[in-house]
Amino acid sequence: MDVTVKIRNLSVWYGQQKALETVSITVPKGSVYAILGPSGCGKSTLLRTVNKLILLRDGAKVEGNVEVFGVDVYNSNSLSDEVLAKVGMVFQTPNPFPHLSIYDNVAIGPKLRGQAKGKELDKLVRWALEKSGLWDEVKDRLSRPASELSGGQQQRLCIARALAIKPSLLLMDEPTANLDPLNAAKIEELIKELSGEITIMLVTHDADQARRLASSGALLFLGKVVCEGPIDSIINGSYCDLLQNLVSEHLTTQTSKTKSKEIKKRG
Amino acid sequence: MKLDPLKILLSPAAIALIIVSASILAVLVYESLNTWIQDGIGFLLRLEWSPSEETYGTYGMLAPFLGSLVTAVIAMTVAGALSTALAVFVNEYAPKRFNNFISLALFSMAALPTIVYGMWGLSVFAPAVRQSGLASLCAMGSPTGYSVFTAGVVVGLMIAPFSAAMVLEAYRAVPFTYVEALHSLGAKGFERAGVILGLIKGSIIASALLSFGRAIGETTIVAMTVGNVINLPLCPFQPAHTITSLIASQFGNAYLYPGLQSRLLAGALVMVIGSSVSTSLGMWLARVTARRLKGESL
Ligand SMILES: Nc1ncnc2c1ncn2[C@@H]1O[C@H](COP(=O)(O)OP(=O)(O)OP(=O)(O)O)[C@@H](O)[C@H]1O
Ligand SMILES: [Mg+2]
Repeated sequence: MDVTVKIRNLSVWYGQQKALETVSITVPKGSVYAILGPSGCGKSTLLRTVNKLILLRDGAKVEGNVEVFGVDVYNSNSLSDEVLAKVGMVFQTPNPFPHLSIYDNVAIGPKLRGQAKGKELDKLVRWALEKSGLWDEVKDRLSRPASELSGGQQQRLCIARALAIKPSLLLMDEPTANLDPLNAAKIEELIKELSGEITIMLVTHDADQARRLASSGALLFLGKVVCEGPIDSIINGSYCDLLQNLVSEHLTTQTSKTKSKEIKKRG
Repeated sequence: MKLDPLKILLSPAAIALIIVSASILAVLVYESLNTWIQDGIGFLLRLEWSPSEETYGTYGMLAPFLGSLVTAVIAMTVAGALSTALAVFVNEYAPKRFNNFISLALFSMAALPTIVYGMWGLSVFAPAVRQSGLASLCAMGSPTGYSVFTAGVVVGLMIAPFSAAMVLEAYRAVPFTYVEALHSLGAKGFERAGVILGLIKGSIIASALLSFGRAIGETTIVAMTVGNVINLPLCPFQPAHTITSLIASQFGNAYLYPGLQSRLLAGALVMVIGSSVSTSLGMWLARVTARRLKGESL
């Protein structure tokens, strides 16, 4: 099996707070890999360690091994830049650059890297916008600011921006979290289409979405991987059912705690 | 309506401020009324300056008016360039522990009295300009080093800490998600700074407007370094006057010259209005920009 990302014994701290604890996962090449888990369990953190965005945070500390395309990205700086140039990212909340035009938002990656110019760049931008299903909606207003697009269009623009750098690995952090069902469906369609060509790490807390899109994945809980493997084993497997029950139990005890607090307050 | 003690305490302060500024304006308008009635804005467009103690002289203020504009534009450019460069350096290159040191340096520079800048201009910068030979670029270049350029640069340095604080703040306030997006696209250092500066363009323009408002009214530094000659500032290395330096040097004896006092006060009024318009515009733009960036980051 070809491996795109191999993480071993990864622990991450934000200052004193531990966000990930001895996480080990293996992401096979050319597939969609789902990262599942309840809110706050460390999904976004895990994604950010793959492309080293985590180092931008004040006080963040990373321990362990992260290999992307066979390169240990935290221990070989010269190679890691080269490898990370092939990693694109789509964020939880759409974040196109509001002051740039639709065109420039897509062109910015290749421009910064000097990958394309002039006609070639135009072609690349069109390709990325077509891929993300946005071309027909924006082809007549490429020079309008990106802030004029709707939320769903903005997210697809961000996908186009990430695709324009021709990534081999795409990190997607709940790309449909803030979208209506129609836009969400469009993006799911796109992920399916891409999955044959590149590797996608998809963070989601929607088990159905994971089942629809991913072939394998991992379930996180409180910063730890509770299970990893083919997607069916994670969502239906007996061992994981147990853990999922654990998760929901943990959640219900928490909510019942807050509820009883509320009742006390009201009383 | 409830009586809030803080409100009772603070209202007089606010009212006093309004009364004081209104009365300053009123006095300026009243004292310069003659000029406005006889001449309108004609005095601002006239070049001729021929004072007379016997009759009403001609006091055209076109040259000092342009002097004020040119000096303020130079100062604004210097302050803007310095603060933008500083913001990029601090955020992209300097180690984090440097931040405190830079804040401290900015604070102390902002706290210096303008006379200190004036003295520095007089004893260090003007001689440097003289020795640089830049004056030879102008037909009527200043042999002393006192010039519109000299005054503009020193005023710009004086304003820089204020505008730097503003640009730094705007740079830091850029929603983190854009920084992350840039990194995920492989943009570092200079490239990242380029996009972020684009994002905060509004704040940079706002700080420039505030700088302009501040510079156009600056008197001490300008009077010490601009050269104090009534001269069209066609070339930056020429000595000239600004309206403020003109007032500083003429107002003491202006009562000897019929009509001069009124002209000078009319000039002061123009500066006050220009400064307030520029400052208010700048503050408005800064607010709008900050709100927009916050809103759009969701
Ligand atoms: N910048 C930060 N500073 C301190 N703690 C942080 C920071 N970012 C995240 N955390 C903490 O790390 C833990 C994991 O956060 P993370 O964002 O990875 O969760 P998540 O699984 O993506 O949650 P969600 O589904 O809500 O997006 C949380 O407990 C969170 O409070
Ligand atoms: Mg998250």
